[in-house]
Amino acid sequence: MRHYNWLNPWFICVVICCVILASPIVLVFSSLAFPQLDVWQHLYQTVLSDYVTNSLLLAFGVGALVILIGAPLAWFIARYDFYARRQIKWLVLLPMAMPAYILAYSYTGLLDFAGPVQGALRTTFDWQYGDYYFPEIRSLSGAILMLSLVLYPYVYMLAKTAFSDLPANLEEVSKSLGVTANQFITKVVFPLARPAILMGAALAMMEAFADYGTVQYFGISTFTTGIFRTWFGLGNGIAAAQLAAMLTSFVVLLLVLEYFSRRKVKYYLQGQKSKAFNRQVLHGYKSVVMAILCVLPVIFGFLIPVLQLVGWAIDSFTKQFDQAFIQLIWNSFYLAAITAICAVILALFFAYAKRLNRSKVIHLIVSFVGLGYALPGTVIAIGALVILSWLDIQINGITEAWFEQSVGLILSGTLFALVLVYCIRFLAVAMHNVDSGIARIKPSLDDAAKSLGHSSFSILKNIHVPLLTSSVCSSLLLVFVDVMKELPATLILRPFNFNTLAVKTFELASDERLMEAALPALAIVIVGIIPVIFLTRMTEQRSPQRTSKNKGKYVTS
Amino acid sequence: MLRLNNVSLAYQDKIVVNNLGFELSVGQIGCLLGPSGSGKTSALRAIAGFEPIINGEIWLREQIVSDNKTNLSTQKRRVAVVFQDYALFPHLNVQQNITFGLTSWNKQQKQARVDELLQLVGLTGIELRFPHELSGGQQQRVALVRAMAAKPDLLLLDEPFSSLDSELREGLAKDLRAILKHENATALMVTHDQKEAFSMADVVGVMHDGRLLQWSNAYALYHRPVDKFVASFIGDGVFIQAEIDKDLQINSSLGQFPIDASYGFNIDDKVEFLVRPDDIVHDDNSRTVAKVISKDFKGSHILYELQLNRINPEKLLCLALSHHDHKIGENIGIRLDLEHLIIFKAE
Repeated sequence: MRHYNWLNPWFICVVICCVILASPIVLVFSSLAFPQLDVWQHLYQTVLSDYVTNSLLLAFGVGALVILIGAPLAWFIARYDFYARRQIKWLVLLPMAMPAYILAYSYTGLLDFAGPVQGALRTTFDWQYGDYYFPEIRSLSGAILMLSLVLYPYVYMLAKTAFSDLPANLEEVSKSLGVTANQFITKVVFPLARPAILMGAALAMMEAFADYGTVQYFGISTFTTGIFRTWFGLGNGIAAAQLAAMLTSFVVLLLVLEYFSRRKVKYYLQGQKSKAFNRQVLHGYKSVVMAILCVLPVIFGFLIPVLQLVGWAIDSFTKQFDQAFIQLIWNSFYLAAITAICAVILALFFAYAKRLNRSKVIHLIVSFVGLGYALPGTVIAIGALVILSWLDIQINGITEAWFEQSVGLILSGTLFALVLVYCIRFLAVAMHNVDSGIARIKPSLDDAAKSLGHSSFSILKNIHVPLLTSSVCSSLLLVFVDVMKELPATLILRPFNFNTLAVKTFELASDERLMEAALPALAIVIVGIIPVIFLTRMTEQRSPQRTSKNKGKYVTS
Repeated sequence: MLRLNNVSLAYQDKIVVNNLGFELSVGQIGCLLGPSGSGKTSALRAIAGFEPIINGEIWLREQIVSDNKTNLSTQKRRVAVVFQDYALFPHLNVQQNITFGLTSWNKQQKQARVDELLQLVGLTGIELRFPHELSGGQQQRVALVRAMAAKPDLLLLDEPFSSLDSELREGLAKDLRAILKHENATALMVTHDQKEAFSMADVVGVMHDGRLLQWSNAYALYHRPVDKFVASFIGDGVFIQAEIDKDLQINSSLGQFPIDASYGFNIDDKVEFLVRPDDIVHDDNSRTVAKVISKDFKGSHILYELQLNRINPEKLLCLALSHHDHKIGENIGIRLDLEHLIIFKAE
């Protein structure tokens, strides 16, 4: 009955962007049309069940553990006032700066047989090899622990926002209805924050499915290492893409779960009238115990490994630090910055187009593009490489025919390919943030601006962008840090002679030159800290819980 | 200025506005009144251009802005909307909010208009405050001023008083009417509160289930409702069952009285007629008595709920002067004083 204008410019732009971004994913799925029976028979007989069980165990283990760490942490920090809370509030974000594979290297150095921990045990108790049991860090549970220690901030940040946004009167009304404190958490707070917590866990699980560095280093067979192996070992690109398609189907389930949980609870904040709820002040030993409890994830996810890295880096500093190393830092930094800006602009554009066109088609297309996050970097990289090199050949054909000159590999052999692949892979991060930020802006604001004669673009510029500053900044930060840490796609797509910190770290650590790997690893971590501080500043300024009553309150309205 | 012809509107095949038609001339204040879900806000959104219509036409300034093919964009309609939640831009101060729609004006013009409007609504000096620093009543007036700033041809107000407390409402409704009249604005308001509708509007339309039942002034709605829903929705009152007897008289528990032929009822028809509280006069000398079931003290008057007798359990409402204070359970004399009979065929 209602007609839809297919030719509106927003729709066309969204479709064009999405076609470009989706092409590598489509390539992966279209691989299913070419069955590779002999390879699959071999895989089935040997390693396929390992891939499936290990990947699933890894993802669900990480999902559970990040909720166990992140959600209570967010609740404590949103809800209680205790010793050094203000410092701890941002300290707990630090593990975000730490890639899981770097955590894995340093803990391996610490905890394996020759490491200082077991060494100290042996000298103290005069044990020999085999005299004692020590948990093996290079195991599936070790990998779950490593990934969770760096991924819990996803849950923490989203859950903390959800908890802080709960209006005070909710708690007051619950009390007046005779609801106990525990019931308040289980019946009111948790259901309201559940979409945010699940969203954070879903993000962490996608990361876990896509992890390559950690599982490769620990020697665990998962889908990602399998894809790498099928590609380089068996030399079968199509079978590798088929494995990736299989992996993606798991993630589709995650996305469906996330979509429905979010749709169920589509709140527009009532804003303006409800005040944020007061934190409960803890005193004495309770205050200190709470502080220690909250600082534990940072100690294990950041402090200990960083101290280890610093120790190694000092030992190898003179050997490592030179002109080439500064170049490495600069390469990593600007690559990450360009990607973050591109991804956030795309995310803003998509989120706004979705808001303008309530058509299901746009929502579907955009969600499909968000799947890139779940795909292992390797596969997007190969998909993109195939398409871009084909395009390069065509372009060179044309220029040679017309100008008798070839332009070289302008798409597949340059940073363009890397930025494109990063954008595909990390767009979902930016979109999650921008989408939830834009959902908080009441639709009546758009209507009001429209009735005051402003065009769609002007509304985006004058209303949405200013109100989305904090969402945009956190998106920028998350994408930036992710690109800094990204490994497999960079390994494949980096232009000739172009190295990043992550690639260098991986190469050195794989050669068991852990000490030399420490300096570039530490650099990744340090660069990663800068945006963490920046993010803290931003949330500090915008937090609705500031003591001055009015400042920044408007963000929630 | 504004004319709707047979306008229908649907969300996912569910018709929410059905054949709506009315007209507003320049400077007139209209109101769509109805319970929630009656389609009044949807109609308002269609006029603003936020929702396309599936049938009929919306005319603004002698030009079709919506029909089943065209839907002129909101930006081009020169209509302004005051939203239920005010929709003030939280990151802009009062001045920036008000001038948000004045993109083509220069700085002096903007300043002059802001000063003029803020003075009109009695809010001078708050230009630099942010929406969250204003009270509900102030926010409402800023939202109104923002809508009026560019002198739109039509002002649409969606439940403009719903988020204010009741004491504020009546005063603001009068102020608002005065402001709109001062600016000679054409306005259409949507509300579920008849008091607001009556104190604001020149002409009121009652909506129910997507249909406009009656479009007329407040007096006519109260005294000459065209429909049983309108009769019961507007004001208090009870329906009394009756029969038309062979002399074409009404025969009811309140007695017999003649009706003229213009009503068009036949002998033996079952009918019901509306009795408003002010149609029942308390009279100690009357032979008709009724028992007080409950009472509601209203200051100058008391609203009594009465029951005629045990055989006939029909209830009546009676508005008596407040010095006629009777206890619950007491029998009091009443007299029917109907000037105009509102009568419908019984269902």
